[in-house]
Amino acid sequence: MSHLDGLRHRLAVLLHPRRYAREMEAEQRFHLELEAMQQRQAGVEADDAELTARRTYGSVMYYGEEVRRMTVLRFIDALTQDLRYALRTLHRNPGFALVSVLTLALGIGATTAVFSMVNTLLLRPLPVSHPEQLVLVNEQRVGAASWWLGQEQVPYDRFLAYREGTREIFSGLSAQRQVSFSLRFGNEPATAVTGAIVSGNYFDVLGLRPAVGRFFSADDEPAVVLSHRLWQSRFSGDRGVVGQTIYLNSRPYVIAGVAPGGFRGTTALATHELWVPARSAPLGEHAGFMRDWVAPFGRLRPGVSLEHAAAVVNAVAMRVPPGEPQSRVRGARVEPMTPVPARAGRSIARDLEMFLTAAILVLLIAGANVAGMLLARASARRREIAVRLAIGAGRWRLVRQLLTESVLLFLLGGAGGVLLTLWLSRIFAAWGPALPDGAVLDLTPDLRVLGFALALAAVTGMLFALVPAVRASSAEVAPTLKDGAERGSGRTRGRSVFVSAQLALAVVLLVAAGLCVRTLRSALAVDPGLDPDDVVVAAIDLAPNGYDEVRGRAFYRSLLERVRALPGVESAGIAQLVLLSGMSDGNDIESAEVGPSGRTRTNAWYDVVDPDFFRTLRIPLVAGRALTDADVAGHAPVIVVNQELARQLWPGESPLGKHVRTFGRDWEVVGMTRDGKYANVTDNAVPPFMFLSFAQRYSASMTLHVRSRLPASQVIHEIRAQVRALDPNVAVGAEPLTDVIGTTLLQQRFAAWLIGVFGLVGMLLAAIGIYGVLAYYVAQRTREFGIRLALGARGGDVLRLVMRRGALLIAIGTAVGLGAAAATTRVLRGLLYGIGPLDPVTFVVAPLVLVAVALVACWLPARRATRTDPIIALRAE
Amino acid sequence: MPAADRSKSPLLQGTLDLLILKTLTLGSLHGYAIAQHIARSSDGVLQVEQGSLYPALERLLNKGWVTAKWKESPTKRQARYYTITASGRKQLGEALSSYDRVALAIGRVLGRA
Repeated sequence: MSHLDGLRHRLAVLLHPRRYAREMEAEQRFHLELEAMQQRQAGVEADDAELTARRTYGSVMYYGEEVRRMTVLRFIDALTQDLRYALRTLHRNPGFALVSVLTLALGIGATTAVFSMVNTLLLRPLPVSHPEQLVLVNEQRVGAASWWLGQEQVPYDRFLAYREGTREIFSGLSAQRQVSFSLRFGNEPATAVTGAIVSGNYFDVLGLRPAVGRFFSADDEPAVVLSHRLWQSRFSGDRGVVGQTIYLNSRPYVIAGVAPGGFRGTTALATHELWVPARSAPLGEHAGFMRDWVAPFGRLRPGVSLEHAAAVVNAVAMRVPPGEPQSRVRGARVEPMTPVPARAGRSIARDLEMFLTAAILVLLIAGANVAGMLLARASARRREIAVRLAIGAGRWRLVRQLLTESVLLFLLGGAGGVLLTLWLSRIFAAWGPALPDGAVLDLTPDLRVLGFALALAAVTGMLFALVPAVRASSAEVAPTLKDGAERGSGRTRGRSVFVSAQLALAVVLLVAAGLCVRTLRSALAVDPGLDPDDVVVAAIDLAPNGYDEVRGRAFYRSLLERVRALPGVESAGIAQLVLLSGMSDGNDIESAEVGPSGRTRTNAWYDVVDPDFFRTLRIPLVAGRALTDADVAGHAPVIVVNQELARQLWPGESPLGKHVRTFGRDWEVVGMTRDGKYANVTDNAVPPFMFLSFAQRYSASMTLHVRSRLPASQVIHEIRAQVRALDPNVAVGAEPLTDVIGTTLLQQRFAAWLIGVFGLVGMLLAAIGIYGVLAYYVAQRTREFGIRLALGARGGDVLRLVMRRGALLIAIGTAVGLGAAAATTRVLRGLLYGIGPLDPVTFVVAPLVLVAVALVACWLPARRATRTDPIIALRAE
Repeated sequence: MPAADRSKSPLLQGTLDLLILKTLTLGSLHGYAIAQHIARSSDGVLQVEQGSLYPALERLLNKGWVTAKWKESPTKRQARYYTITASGRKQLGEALSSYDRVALAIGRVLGRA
C-alpha cells in the first residue's frame, strides 16, 4: 500500500500546489513559534527569541523552497519555467514564431486532413447501435444490374423473398434506395434533397431512437423522418414540425419524427436528409434506372456466424428467380456493413495510404524548414547560451529548455494545423472533386483526429528540435563570450543538409503530383470516339407517370421537337444509356449466317438511340449509314455496330448487309462506327457494341442529349421548362455530359487534386527553406560583401557568389530527389492511366519547375547582397 | 544550483529517516515534537534542523512510509501530525537490522567490539 499512500501524496501536491504551499508555510510558522516559545521559557526576550529562532534556522521561505524541491513540484516548476521562458522568447521574435507556426500548420494540417479522411472512411464506426452486427446482402448478378456504392441492388420483390427466407439468421432485414426528392414546405420554394426510400423497419434494424417524434408505424399515412441536420437547417429545430405536412415531389407527407443527430444514412459517403417508408412512397414512382431496386442490409441474430448467414442468403439467392428477365443471379454474399462498402474500402484504403504518404512528405519538408530556422537561431543565441552555461546552467537543462521552446512551437503549429483542417474540409467540399450520387465527405475532426494532430505535433517537435537543441547547448563558452561575433560557415552546414533534403522531398512530391495530374489529363484527353463537350444530358422516366408506349413515344417526339426548336440548340437526340457514365448493359448477339467456323456469337454492349444521337455526340461512321427516320417500327429492323463487333463476328469481312439475331429477332447491319470508349474513358479493352433504333425498340426511360454552345445551366433550365410544359409531373435529372464523365474519373481527380496541392505546398516550403538559408548566409557575410564591393567587385560578382552556393544546394537536392522519385513512383502504378510511373515528361518538367522556383528564392537574398552599402556594412562592426 | 546538495550525504539522510520512523512508533507527532524527541532522547547531541527535518518528512510521505493529517495540537493550534504506516514499520525493521549490521562492522573495524 506504500505506493498508494505515496502516490496519493504526490497527487495532492500536484493538484493543489497553492494549498500545499499554504500548509507548508503554516507548518513552518508553527514550528518557529514553538521554537520561540521554548526560547522564551529559557529566558530569552520575546523579540530576540523569534529572531534567534529565525537566525538559527533560516527563513520560513527557504525551508518552504527546500521542501518543495523534494516533490514532483520540482519537475512541474521547471516545466512551467521553461514554458514561460519559451513563450517570452517566441513573443520577442514574432516573425520567426509566425513563419514557423504557419509552416508547421501547413504540414500538420495536410497530414491531419488526410488522417481525418482515413478516420471518416475507415475508422469511425457508423452511429448506430452495435454496428458490428450489421451486414449487407450483396448479390452477384450478371446482365442487368444496378449498383449503389459497391452494393448490388435487388428488385423489391426479391428483397421481400430474402426477408422471408432469412428470418432465422437476421433479427431484421431492411432495404434502402437512395432517391433525390424535391422538397417543398409551406410557401418556400422547392429544394432538391437526397434521401432514401426505405423498408418500414429501417430504423428498428439500425437500433436508433428518434430525437423528436417517432419513426414509422404500420398504419401511417404517408410519413417522412427528417435528418437532424435538415431539421435544424430547414425547420430551425422546431419541435412543432412533427405532424406537419411537407411536399416531396409534389406529394404530401406527414413529418413523423427526426432522426438522432449525427445519423446521416448508413455509409460515410452518402448523406441522407430524409427517409420515406416504401409503403407510403411506392418505389418506381421516382426517376431512375431500375427504379424499384433496393440495397438490402440486416442485423444478424446473436451467435449467427458470417459463414452460416452467407450459406442461408446464398440458398435464397439461388432459389428465388432473378425477377428480371435479362439478368442471372450467381449467388449472394453477406459482407460486414462498414462506413465504406468493403469493395470500395480496399481501393480507398490504398489511395488514402498514398495521400497520407504525400502529406507526411509535406510535413517532413515543413519540419525541416523549422529545424533549419531553429539552427539559425541557435547560432544567433550562442552568446545567450554561453552566458547561461558560464553561470552554471547544466547542459541537459539547456537542451530541455530549447526543446520545450521547439515543442511549444510545434504544438502551436498543430493547433494551426487543426484550424487549417477545418478550413480545408470546407475548401474541399466547395472546390474538391464532386462525389457520385451527391455523396458528401464529412471531414469534421473528432477527438481521434485532434489526438492525432497533437501526437503528430509533439513527435515531430521532438524529432526536428533535438538536433538544433543539442547543437546550441554545445556552444563553447570561452571563445563565444570573447569575440561574440558570428563565425564559421560551418554553422550553416546543418541547414544546408536540411535544405537539400527538403528539395529532394519536394522533387518526389512534385513528380508524384505531375504523374497524377498528367494521368487525369490523359484520361480527359482520351479520344472516346465521341465529343462530350457542349452536350447536356437529361434523364427522363415516364414509367412512374403511367405512360404506355404510344403516349411515351408521343411525349419524346414532341419533347425532341420543342428542344430542337430552342435557339442555340444545334442538335438533340435520345438514348437509353448515357455513354461514358460508368454504366453498361449487354446482350447476346449471334450472326445469322453460318460462316466457315459455324455460327458465331458474342455478348455485345448496346444502347437504344434515335437517328440524331450520332450527330449530337459526333460519333463518326466508318461504313454504311447511321439510323434514319425511315427505320421505324414495321420496317426491317436495323442496327449499327462498332468495328470490334464486326471483327468478332465477321473477321476480314464488311459487316454491312449482314444479319444478326439479338433480343429475340433478326436485325440487318446498316452501319459501322469507329471503336470508342463506352462505359468509362479509362477502359482499355474495347467491347463489341451495337446501337439499336429507339423507333424499333421502345423504352420508357430515356436520356435526352442536347448539343448547344449556350451555358449548360441555361440549357438545363430550358430543358426543364420544356418538360414541365409537356407534363409537370415528369422529373428531369440534367447535367453536362462532361460532369457525368468527370464523376467516373473520381479516383484520378482526387489524386490529382490532393497530391497536386501537396506538391505545390511542398515546393513552396522548400523554396522558403532555401531562401532562409541564403538570406542567413548573406546576412552573416554583410561585412565581407561590403569589403568586396569597396575593393571594386561589381554587383554581378557578389550575385554569382551567392547564387553559386544556392545552385549547389539545388543541384544536390534535385539529383537526390530524382533518384528517390524514380525508385518510388512505382507505388502509383495502380492509379496511373496513359503514362508509366517513369513518365519522361513528368521527370523533366517537375524538377525544372522546382529548380526555377528555388532559383528565384535564391535570387532574392543574392540581390540584397549586391546592394550592400560598404560604409554601413563596415560600420556595423 | 541548489545548495541543498549538502544534505545529500546518504548516511545522514538514511539515518535521519531511521530516527524519524523510530520516533513515530511512539504515536502521531507534529514536526517540532519529532525534533524535540530526537534531541531529548539523544541528550541534545542530535539537533535536527528544520531544513533537514521537513525535506525528510516529505521524502517519507512520497515513499508512503508516513502519512500526514492536520489536527488540533494541545495548544489549540492546527498542526500537521505525522503517522507511521504499515510499510513504514516494515522499512524501519529492515533499516534497523541493516543499521545494526553496519554499526557492528564499523565497531569491529574500529576495534571496539
